[in-house]
Amino acid sequence: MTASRLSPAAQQRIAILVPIVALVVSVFVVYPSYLHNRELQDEIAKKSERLNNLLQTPMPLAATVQPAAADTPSEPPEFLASIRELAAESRCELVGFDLTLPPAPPSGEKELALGGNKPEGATKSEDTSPVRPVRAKIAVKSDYDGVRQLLRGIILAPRLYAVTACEVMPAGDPGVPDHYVRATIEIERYVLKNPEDAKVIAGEPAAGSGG
Amino acid sequence: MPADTRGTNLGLYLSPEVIIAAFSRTGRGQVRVAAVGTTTTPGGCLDGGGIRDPIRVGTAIRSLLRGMRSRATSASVVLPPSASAMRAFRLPDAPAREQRLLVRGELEQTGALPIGTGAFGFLWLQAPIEEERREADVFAFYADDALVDSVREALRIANLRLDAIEPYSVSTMRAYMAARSDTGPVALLCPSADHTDLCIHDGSHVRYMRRIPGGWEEMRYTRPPLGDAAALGEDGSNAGAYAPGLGADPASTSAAFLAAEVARSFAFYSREYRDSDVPRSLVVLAPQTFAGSIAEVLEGVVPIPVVADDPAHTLDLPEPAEGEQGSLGYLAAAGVGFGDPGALIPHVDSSRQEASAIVRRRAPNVLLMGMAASTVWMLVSLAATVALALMNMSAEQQSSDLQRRLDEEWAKREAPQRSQEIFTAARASQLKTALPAATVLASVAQAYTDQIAIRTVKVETGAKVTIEGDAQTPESMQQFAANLAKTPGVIGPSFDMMHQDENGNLSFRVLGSCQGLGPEGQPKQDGQ
Repeated sequence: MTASRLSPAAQQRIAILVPIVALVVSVFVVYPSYLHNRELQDEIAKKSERLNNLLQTPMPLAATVQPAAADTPSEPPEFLASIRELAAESRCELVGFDLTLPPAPPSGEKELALGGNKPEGATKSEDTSPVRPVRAKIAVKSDYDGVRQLLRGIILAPRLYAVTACEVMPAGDPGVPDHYVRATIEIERYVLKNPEDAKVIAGEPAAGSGG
Repeated sequence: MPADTRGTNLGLYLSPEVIIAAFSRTGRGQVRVAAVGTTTTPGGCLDGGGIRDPIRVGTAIRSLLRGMRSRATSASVVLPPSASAMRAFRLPDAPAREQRLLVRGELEQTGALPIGTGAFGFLWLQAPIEEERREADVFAFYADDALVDSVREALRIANLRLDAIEPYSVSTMRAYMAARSDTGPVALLCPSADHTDLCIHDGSHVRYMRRIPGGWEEMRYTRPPLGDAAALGEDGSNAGAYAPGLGADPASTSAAFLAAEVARSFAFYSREYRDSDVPRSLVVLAPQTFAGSIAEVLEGVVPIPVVADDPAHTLDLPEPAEGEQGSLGYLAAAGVGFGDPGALIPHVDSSRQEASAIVRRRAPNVLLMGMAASTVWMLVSLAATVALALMNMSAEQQSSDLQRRLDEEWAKREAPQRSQEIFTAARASQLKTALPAATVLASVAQAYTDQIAIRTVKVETGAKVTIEGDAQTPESMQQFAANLAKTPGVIGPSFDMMHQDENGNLSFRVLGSCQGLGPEGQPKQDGQ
């Protein structure tokens, strides 16, 4: 039966319903699908670009120096052992070891409480650095060259250290040669804030790795 | 009822009781009914005012024609007598191209047709010339647009095109005129339920036509006088309640009125058309149920013989079982389908509508086009929906593949990248705080001379270098400072303190800086 054979009432219903259905389908199905398709195409383009950029980016080279160590209870003794080894290699006698906390950065709360302004450094409350500096002070006895070798050994050590202060004075102790000196050296080392990074440093894939 | 209907004209008589199809063929100046067929009209679909349900009527017509193996593509239609009205008026004679406009104006002026709507056809007959005035008698048959549209719709459903809708009386009279053997002048009386059409024909042309308000419907219920056995049925029942009592009561108002009006029309015709031949007889084209009674009433009033024979016999038509018109239904159906042999009675097409109605009739076509366009739109939308769904599925799959490859690449690079980030951060911290202590000590050793003794060497935060010592001579201190200034580890050495005790021993303190040197003693690059 063709449309012309339909009753006028049926034709009127069809004449009204068909455009409405077409409009509803167009507005509520086709157009959102079209927008979704465009979003998907944009997303595909972005992902393709990111993938190409990623593939063209050379793989980062592994550092030859351990930049930081895991912040574990065994870290200070390991550091001490490392320094002791360096001292021994440099013919130095380790006569003192003192773990000192790094100076706390200004938080700004104290200044605000006193009616002042927040210092500039305090605005950087969110430190995004993955490492935290830890300082220690050691005292060694050796001749002048030995101290120089120790300082050089600290800089060239397998782990990244920084000499933040150094004082060299005559040893002046009875029973030691006159040319021996006593050196007080402040060393800064770095520990990881995120324990998961320890695996990265150790060369293992970190947990939860992903884009 | 299969018959040879090729080369024939199809005439349809549509009545509330029966649908009659008559195929007529014209040849050698003669007309002949090739085939007839009837079917019952679907109940309630058609009345005197028009077609109520064009779909069912159209379906019935289609079934009837299919049974007759008809190949007709168009048809002319006759509706019951009550479906069209008639007005007669006299107008100045006018060219054919102006006649329709004049008639419409007259019909609208008299209120017969609303302005701009309605359909009508007319007979334009030359009136006798009086005092050199050329006038015309116009007999206009009209109907409303709804009736014409309903007939057109029914025929469309029957796969037919509407050729014309002709008044019942005109078709019936034409069929009679075509079938009769005599060629002389004749008067035709075509009664219906509520009116009677009178036509005076001079044998070659229609000369006069008139509609008399009164038909058999009023006569039908005229009760016969009590005790008149002729009005009773054979079984003694009062069949006269439906059977005509016209002959039994010739003085009844309706019968007398009809007879008087016919006689008055003859008198008018004799007076106005003096040069025309007087009709030789008055033929009553009425169903046999009423024809005899009407003829009986007229016989004593009109001065010519009254004939009430069944005219259908002359066309060899069957007697239908249904329909109040009896065999006249066949006559009407045949007459509307006839060509115009000898231009006996011109065709009157009362289905001719104005342009506005034609435009209005096209509205359903516009509706159908809109429906078709909407359907196409909907189908395209649905196709687009499916296509977009497939495209989205493919795109999502592609996106997820890319994401997986990205994740794999990131997984490969995450550890080295993170390691590099950690190293960079640690190195940045180191560069910020580390002092080149080894380089400073090397510089002090390089600047050392024999006549001095170094007591302390301090390298402090802020890259400040402090060297304290004793000297034997001022020259040795000067030499030491000069040497120190040449080294890379202590920049800008200057004496902060010099002291000579009572024994002549010299002590000194030199301040310098190792600013700008990296942890390894090399100059810092920009950004470090």
